[in-house]
Amino acid sequence: MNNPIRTLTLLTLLTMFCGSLHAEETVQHEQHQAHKHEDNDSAKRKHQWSQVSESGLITAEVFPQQGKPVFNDYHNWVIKLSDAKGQPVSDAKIAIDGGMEAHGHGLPSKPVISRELDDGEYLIEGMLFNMTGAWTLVIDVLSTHENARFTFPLELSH
Amino acid sequence: MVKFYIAVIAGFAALLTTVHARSTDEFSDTEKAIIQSLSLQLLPVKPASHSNKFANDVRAQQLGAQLFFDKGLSANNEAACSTCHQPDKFFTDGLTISQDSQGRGRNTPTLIGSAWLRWFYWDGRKDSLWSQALSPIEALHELGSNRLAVVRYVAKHPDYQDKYEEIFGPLPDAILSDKLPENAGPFGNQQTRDNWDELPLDLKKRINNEFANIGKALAAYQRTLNYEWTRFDTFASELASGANEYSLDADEIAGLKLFIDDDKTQCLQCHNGPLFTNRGFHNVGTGILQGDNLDFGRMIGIQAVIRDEFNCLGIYSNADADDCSSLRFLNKSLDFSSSGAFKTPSLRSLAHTSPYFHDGRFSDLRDVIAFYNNPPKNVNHELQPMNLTNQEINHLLKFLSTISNP
Repeated sequence: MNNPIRTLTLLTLLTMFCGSLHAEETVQHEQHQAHKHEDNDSAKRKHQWSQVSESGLITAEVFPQQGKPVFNDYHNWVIKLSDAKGQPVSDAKIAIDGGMEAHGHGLPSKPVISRELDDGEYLIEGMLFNMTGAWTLVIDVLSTHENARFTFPLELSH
Repeated sequence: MVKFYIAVIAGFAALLTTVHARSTDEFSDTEKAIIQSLSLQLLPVKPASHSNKFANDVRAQQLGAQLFFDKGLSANNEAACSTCHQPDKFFTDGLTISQDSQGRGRNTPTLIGSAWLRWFYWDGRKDSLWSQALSPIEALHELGSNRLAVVRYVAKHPDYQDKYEEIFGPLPDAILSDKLPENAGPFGNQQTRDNWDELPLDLKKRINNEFANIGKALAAYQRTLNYEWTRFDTFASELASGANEYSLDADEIAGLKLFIDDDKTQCLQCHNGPLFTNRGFHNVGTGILQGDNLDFGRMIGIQAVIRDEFNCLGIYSNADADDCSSLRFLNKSLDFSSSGAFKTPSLRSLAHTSPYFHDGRFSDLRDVIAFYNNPPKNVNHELQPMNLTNQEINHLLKFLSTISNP
């Protein structure tokens, strides 16, 4: 390797090659950092579903107790009920059902409301999702305000 | 000189191509996440067996291992658990349906990885490994014995008695009494059932308790049967670490991509997680809902497990009711979800667990893929045709071979 032109050519190509790798790494690193900042807030929003009853008297909000759904294991969710003035709806009777329309089957478990955690906030135990894709969560509420059915479409992915 | 430059440029082009081919850019972030979710590296720690407080007791594991291979537990001294669950066949028997079941049985599933399962038998009629282990002992075409005979066999066995009592406590004298009949149990022949009916309730409970302990020892052993690390798991680690070399070749990777492509194959819908099973029940159109040899699958399993005296909520269980999640949250719907549905088997070690499906209808994996590629018509099931080409089927088969060791 005593030809200076050869040496220069090789060095240039090497620099270009390594530079391109480094540039790629930098972009990936910056993207990763940006994603990290968004993670907490967007994850929380992503796993909360809210719906107003047909009559507008009750709003139901559902979300996993630990922030996001646990795939393939039993876990707890919370349902929060409030009236048109934003006041909690207590002492409601609640039933949970649902399934996957595309597969023609129901939920793999039968979740239950075990207790009212706080005013208008109820603990749902025994939620289980063992497939990704489009699920439907159907929640029937019997309350002094009204009896209402809420149908939440949930899209679960890896 | 021109040749030299061409060679240098070609060399770098080749280098760039190699790096690209082996770079993680081949996979989207979603694909990478799914691939990691399938790796044994992400297998959760072995779930506690709340209903069996001896599940992790080494002494119980050792006793269970002895009992597992002991033909003395059977009525004719010719069958043991290991007759159908043969270690050299990945704890299956290689038969279409279980031995001696005279056409009424189902395919023998592997026991490997069973510590992670929630339900046992193809229809999930048992909710624990220990309660499952009891049934074959009394099944006419399996071990064909009965609970009193088996408890007394263990209690009088010179090698087992001390080991048993060290783990489970002293055996009640009443069980060893010569006044008791030789055979008694709620199954078996008429005499065995009559003998059982005549026993006082408290003695039945004592016998049941010791019988349950035998199941708990067997389960303690079976919980130790773990899946082995495979080439796919190595690949997943390589992908995660950004390695330059992959353990899978291009065809196997093409098959993996198909496997995790929900739009094309939907394999992942049921065969997900490190065990390649969602541990649930699905209707793929293999139930027999009319005519002879009816098999409703999960629909019967639901009703059986609720009534099982050895279930998690029963008096022979060591669990608090709150720990019996599978029963507490059991979906009892006797509809399309359960009628003709069977438990999703793991795909790990698939190459060694032929034949396939609950009735062992296919001995060749290619036939299994062909079934899913073009599922039966005019039968209720959850499947959509995959419409894979022959080449895609070959790729899928090659990928599946990477989750079995040679």
